[in-house]
Amino acid sequence: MEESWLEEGHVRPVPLRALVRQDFRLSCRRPRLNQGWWMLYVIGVAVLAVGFATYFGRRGDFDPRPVWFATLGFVFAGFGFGIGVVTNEWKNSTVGWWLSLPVPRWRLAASKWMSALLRGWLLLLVVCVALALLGLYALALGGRLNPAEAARYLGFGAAVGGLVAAVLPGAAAFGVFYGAIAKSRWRPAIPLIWLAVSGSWWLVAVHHGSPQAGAPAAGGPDGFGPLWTASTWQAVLASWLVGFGLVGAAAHVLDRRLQL
Amino acid sequence: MDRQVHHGPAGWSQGDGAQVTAGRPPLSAGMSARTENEPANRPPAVRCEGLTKQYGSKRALDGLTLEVPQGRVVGVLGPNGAGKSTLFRVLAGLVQPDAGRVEVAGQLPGWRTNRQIAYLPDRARWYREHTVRDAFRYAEQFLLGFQPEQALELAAWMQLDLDLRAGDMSRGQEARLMLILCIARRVPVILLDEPFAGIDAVSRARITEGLVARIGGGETTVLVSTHELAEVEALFDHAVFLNAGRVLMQGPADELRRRGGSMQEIMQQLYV
Amino acid sequence: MRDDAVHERKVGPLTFRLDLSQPLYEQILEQMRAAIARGELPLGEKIPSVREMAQALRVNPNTVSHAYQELERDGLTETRRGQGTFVTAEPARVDQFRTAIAEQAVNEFVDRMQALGFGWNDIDRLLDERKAKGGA
Repeated sequence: MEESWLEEGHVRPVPLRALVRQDFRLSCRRPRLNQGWWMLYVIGVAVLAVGFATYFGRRGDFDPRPVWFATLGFVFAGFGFGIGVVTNEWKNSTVGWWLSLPVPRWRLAASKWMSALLRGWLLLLVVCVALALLGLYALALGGRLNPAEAARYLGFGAAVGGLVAAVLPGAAAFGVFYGAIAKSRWRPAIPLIWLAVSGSWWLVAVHHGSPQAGAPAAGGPDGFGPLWTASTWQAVLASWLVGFGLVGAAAHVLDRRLQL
Repeated sequence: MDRQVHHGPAGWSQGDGAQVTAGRPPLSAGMSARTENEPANRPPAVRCEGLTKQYGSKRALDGLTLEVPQGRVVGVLGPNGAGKSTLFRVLAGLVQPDAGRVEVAGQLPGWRTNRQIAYLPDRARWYREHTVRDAFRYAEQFLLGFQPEQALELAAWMQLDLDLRAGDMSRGQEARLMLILCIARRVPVILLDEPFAGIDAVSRARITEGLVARIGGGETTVLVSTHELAEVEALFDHAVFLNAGRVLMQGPADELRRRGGSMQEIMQQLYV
Repeated sequence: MRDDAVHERKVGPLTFRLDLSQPLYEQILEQMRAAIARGELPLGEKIPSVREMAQALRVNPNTVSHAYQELERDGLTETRRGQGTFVTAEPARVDQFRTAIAEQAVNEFVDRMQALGFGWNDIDRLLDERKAKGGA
């Protein structure tokens, strides 16, 4: 009768995988549109995209590669997903359940980060596939669909998309950290964070030349400089390290700095 | 109306029949928490000493000291702002007190102790894309000691459709779901913060019955904060009255009834 | 007196009236005793389990359990392992209990009367008058 539930044997840890699955589901919540409207938007965007591709394809004399820069938006989206997946717990009044989970705080933060990242990567993949198909379609319309052109187009896409994918972990981590700060007693420090971010951005730009402006402007034989230089690798690696630190900082904020 | 009438034909009048409220001794603070069949060696389920928590200029907890024996069903009572929710958040490890000591089941609150605590947060909602079934699966994965069979039984009994999404539920149905997630767990401490707030009478009755089905027997300590006492107060065998972040009065419920009447009457006397 | 503090609850053949402004344990105990003494719960009859009773009354099971323990100490009920709790099968037990309660009531009555200065003759006269009025 006096079987104890306190014994350690009863205690199995909550797997990170299960947490990520739950958070991922939470982060992928669609806005509350009904099915009809949703379809209408999807079809509308598809028609527009195909329309543009057709128009430029028939003109025939253009370089389709810059469309890949559209994926740069995912850096900001990743940041947004990170914020959303954390602050949604407050918005939906589920934060009490979330924070009282018998799970170490770093695992809560890491799970939020992973689900935001997963969401960013998945959407990026979908958009990249769509852009690849559209670009090839446009090339075909202009009668330029040969292996060399296709490889040039897709190769550039892989470089840009790969860079965005590589930067997403850092962006998502910054989002998770930012979301946690926004709900903490350190909320007044948010302008300070922006100051620090823009300050370091400026420093990087001064020392290495702006990675943003540099890519499309610098001239090479193709009009674009190589994207993946040594300093790109360094920057990506640095963003991962910083992201790692930010997830840890978010865990600390969740542990003892929240405004509840 | 004379009180004796209420005892009806089945009841015998108590004592000398002169049951006048005026004859009661005045309410006093610091009533003994222990009763006769209290095993002395078990640590208290909850122990707070001089707990203080400040939010800006407002003191939510102001030197709160409290000891709750194991196996009790405790009503944590008081008006809004008395410190009930802050106390519960401290016990669930969500909020760090500024000063004072706190122990739940003999340990410092934190995510580790939450394995042994079922906590229903104040004004909480459930994840709206979850059906009842999803919520039970969530609980199986994340909430230690959750017993699915018992949850299903409670759901049937509280008339909760397993395929209903939380987002499509009424407040009462959602409250039933969240209560089940807490009371279908085999844990030593259950904390229910305002489980009856904003809920229709039918759901309130269902929740009360659900609680009765799970409490008692000395295994689980249940702390229930509420300001809606009707119906529920018969569930408490211990009551704690808070005001301005401090314990105003506490004791075994029947003892309090003998001295001051129903919990509701005591509330009215305490907080005028 | 607040009427909303009184709740009436049916449990099988029994009707309980619980006044939330009085100790619940005593009320449950007294009303169970009365039901057994008057035969509303027949000899040898099974009584509801603590949990069933608590659910029907919507009170804390600990309170019911406390009252049940007292009933058993009174000798009015007995617990058979694995079967539940039953009203005692021996009429003598119930009679004995009834008599004891009756004696207690008489003693209290006489004490009060004497405290008010009534003698035995007065008490007889008052009881006769009461009898003449009829009723239960």
